Amino acid sequence: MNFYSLIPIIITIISFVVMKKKCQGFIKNWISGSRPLISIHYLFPTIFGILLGNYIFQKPVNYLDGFLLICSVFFSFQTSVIVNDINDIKTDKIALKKSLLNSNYFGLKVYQNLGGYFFILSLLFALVIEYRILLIVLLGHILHFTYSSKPFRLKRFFPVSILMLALGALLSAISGYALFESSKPFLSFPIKPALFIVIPLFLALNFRDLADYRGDEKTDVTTLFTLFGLGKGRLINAFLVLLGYLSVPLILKFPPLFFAVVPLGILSFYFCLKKPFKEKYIFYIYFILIAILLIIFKLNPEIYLGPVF
Amino acid sequence: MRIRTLIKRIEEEEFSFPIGFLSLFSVILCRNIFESAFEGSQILGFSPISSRSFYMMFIHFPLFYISIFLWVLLVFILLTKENWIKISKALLIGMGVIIIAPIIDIIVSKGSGYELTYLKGFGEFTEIHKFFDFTRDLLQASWGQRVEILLVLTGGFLYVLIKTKNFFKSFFASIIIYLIIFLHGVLPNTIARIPSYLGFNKLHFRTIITDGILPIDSQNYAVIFSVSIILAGFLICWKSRKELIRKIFNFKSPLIIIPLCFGILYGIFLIFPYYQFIFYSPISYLIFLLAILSFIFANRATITSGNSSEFKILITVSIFFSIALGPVFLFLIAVFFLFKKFLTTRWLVVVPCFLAGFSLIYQGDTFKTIIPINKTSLEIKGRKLAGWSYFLNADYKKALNQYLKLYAINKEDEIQLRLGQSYLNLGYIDKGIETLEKIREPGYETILSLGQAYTQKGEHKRAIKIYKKAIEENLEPAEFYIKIARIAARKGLEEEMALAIEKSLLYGNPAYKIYQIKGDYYLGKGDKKRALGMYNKALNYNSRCTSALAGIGIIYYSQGNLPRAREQFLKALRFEPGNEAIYNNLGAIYLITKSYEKAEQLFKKSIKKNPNQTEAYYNLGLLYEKMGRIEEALEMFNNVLKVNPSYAPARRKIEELKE
Repeated sequence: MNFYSLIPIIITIISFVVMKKKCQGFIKNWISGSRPLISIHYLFPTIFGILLGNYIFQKPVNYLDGFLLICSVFFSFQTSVIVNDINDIKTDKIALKKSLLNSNYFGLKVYQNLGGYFFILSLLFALVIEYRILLIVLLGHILHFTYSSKPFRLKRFFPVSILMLALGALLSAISGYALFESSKPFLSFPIKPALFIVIPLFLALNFRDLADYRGDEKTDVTTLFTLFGLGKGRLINAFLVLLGYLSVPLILKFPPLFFAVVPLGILSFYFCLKKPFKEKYIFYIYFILIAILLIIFKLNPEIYLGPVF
Repeated sequence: MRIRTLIKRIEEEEFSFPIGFLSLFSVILCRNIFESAFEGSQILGFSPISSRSFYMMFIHFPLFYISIFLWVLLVFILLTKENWIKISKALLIGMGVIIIAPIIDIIVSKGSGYELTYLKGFGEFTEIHKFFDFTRDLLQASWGQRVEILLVLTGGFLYVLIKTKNFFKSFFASIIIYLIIFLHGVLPNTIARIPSYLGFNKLHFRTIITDGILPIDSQNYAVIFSVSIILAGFLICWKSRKELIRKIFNFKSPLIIIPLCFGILYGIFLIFPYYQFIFYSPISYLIFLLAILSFIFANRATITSGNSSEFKILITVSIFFSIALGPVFLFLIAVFFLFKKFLTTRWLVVVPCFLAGFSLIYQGDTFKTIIPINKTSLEIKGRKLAGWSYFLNADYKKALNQYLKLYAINKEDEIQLRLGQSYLNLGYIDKGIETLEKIREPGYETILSLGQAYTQKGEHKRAIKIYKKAIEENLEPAEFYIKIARIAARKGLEEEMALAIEKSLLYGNPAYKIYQIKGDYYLGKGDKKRALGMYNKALNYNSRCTSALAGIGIIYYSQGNLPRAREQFLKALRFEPGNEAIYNNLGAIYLITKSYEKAEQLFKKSIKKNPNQTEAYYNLGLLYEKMGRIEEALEMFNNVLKVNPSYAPARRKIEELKE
């Protein structure tokens, strides 16, 4: 074990212990405000990338590197949550959305510092693995920064915003894959898994904007819902989520998967239309699909490879 | 009308200086990462990683783009008379264009990417039209670069047109922007060549040297762009914030500069016998100038309020420039800042100032050299400086002399590597291999040199073994699998080649390389039809694939179609002017057509480019034999055997000639 690998782990533990002692309820507040479900959703592609690399290159998984990478991606996502919250103060207030910044637990300055701290942590975790992994994680940061922050604030432009989120997930997968092949990870990452990550997420991720509808409308952010109106938007979103589920077996060219994705898609379709809208149910169904996909990967990884057309 | 509204919206967007700077830096980094991941040469960040990768990614290219940004900003300020903050916001959004070039290239090249070429200096002033010279078959610029520049020029034209409603000014803006980009391309090499333009340099330039006293070439580029940024920033401030310039460059500034200059002079004094190598490159002067300016900025930052944008600008600029000047300099300027800001005994700031000046010459060895003065360290530094200068100028004899003396006092890996490479470049292949084999932790460059040396020696299996060992240690497997496949193809080792090709594809190597290797394999087997098919496929993916062009040339040559063979070789040379094998091939054509003088020139050129070229020595031997210069012919055949003792045709020729 490399001593340097332990540095970010030690720093993280010490700083969390210090923060827990200094700010009462820090960890509880942070976990509740840090979108745990979406965080987990971002970790799945990373794990998938690791499994894919492990299978393709037939090299053993370095569990420490895998752990460090997952930490890096996790803190990278936490940074993006903070950057997004800071830039969405207005929107979140109008939409009455719960965020760490709105809960008044953190002041703006402290929250900014926390973002900077997570940013450095995520880069540190990536750097101790390898310089090239750092570049991939950094690209993820850039993607999220330009997505949320002015002057670019690409989240204002539908469907670029959704495409960027899907590409963020693809980057997470590539970072996992790069643990095994870091010299040309973007070029060597197989096309089929890339499409399998990007297309379904691009179709399905619109539901994330539903909770921000009121705020987005008033701050000139274009989403599916502000574009088509809430009623039509919800229906289109439900159809797109269903289509996202159906696209998985089509991309993988694995028809038996329809037996799983059809009921899951219909269930998601139902929860997208059900009032009041609860994001967590969509995630729970999504996690079931991930579990099924992981089992399939374990049984026959070749399904995920091969030509697309 | 819509564009005008859009520009107005962009200009009215509210965000702070750090966010604006971060956004600009993000766009630049994004471009760099895309370029390093997608384009043909990935040394910028992904493969192979070297000491320059970090500087290229985070310092040199960001400064390059920031410098262009500021100069274009200045042009817009002068032409539109608009508020500079508004213009910079619009320009910042426009900078987003730079990320499209690698994306276009990876699509157009069907996954291969282009090896982006750089401008060579004012010597090649005709390159000014390179981005739009469509007759050059993408030799000079890739499609991505062309589209990128076209968009930048159109954007500049439209912006000035909307602001001024004056076609002439808009057209003028486009031309100036194009010139700014062009000048940024040629600036480093032009500055580096100033002494050779003026005839001052004792050493003759073979290659373009951009190195000053900083150890990494990319750092030197960064220095040039830093100075350019300061100049552009100065002019912008002169137009819009004169008071800032007055504040920064006040009468107290020289007091900070004095100990810094003393540090520099003391450093030069200590390295005395080798001081000429410090001033060998004009970039050294810029390095000193940048160091002085960095301290002036840091000094100003110490007396500026921590919340002001002025403070943030000064700190950002100081940090950026200091990183370009080396980590020790950065550390010392940080110490200076803290001493000046928080210590009551202010005279102590003299210490970091003095040491920072000293560190410009001694870099990582600063503290080791100065406390106490270490004569061995000084000699090592001086000889390294001299050896590297000679090495870069291809004066390998003098470089070897320096590295041999260095090796006697210090056996660090870098010295052994350069010593080994100097041997190889002078044709002492066994000595070179012996030296390189001794390196404790062989990196990419060592493996590459060793592999090439063994290949030239005819010990292909050893070369493959070395590459495989590197792959086992996860050292650039994509690169080394291709090398193994190439050797296996040329030697007809079908199984080895197939396996290496399979792995190469897995590691993301572009398809054209695989087709080219298969072409080599079929050519070696004598199956010219299939070889031609493979080479054409390679060219279909990458029209600049020199090996495929040369392969086709060889096929024509073997069919006796010499004019077409010559055409192919010349085309290949246009894309890769340094390819010694192609010079040899061209020479072979002239040898057959009995243009002996031309053939001799080309063979000699091939040998000069690579003194271990057995084929070129052999062909030159044949030429001398035909010309009746038997002694020289014998010498050439003997040279072949020096490099590769198992080269049977040369041995036979020697026996024939002796009889």
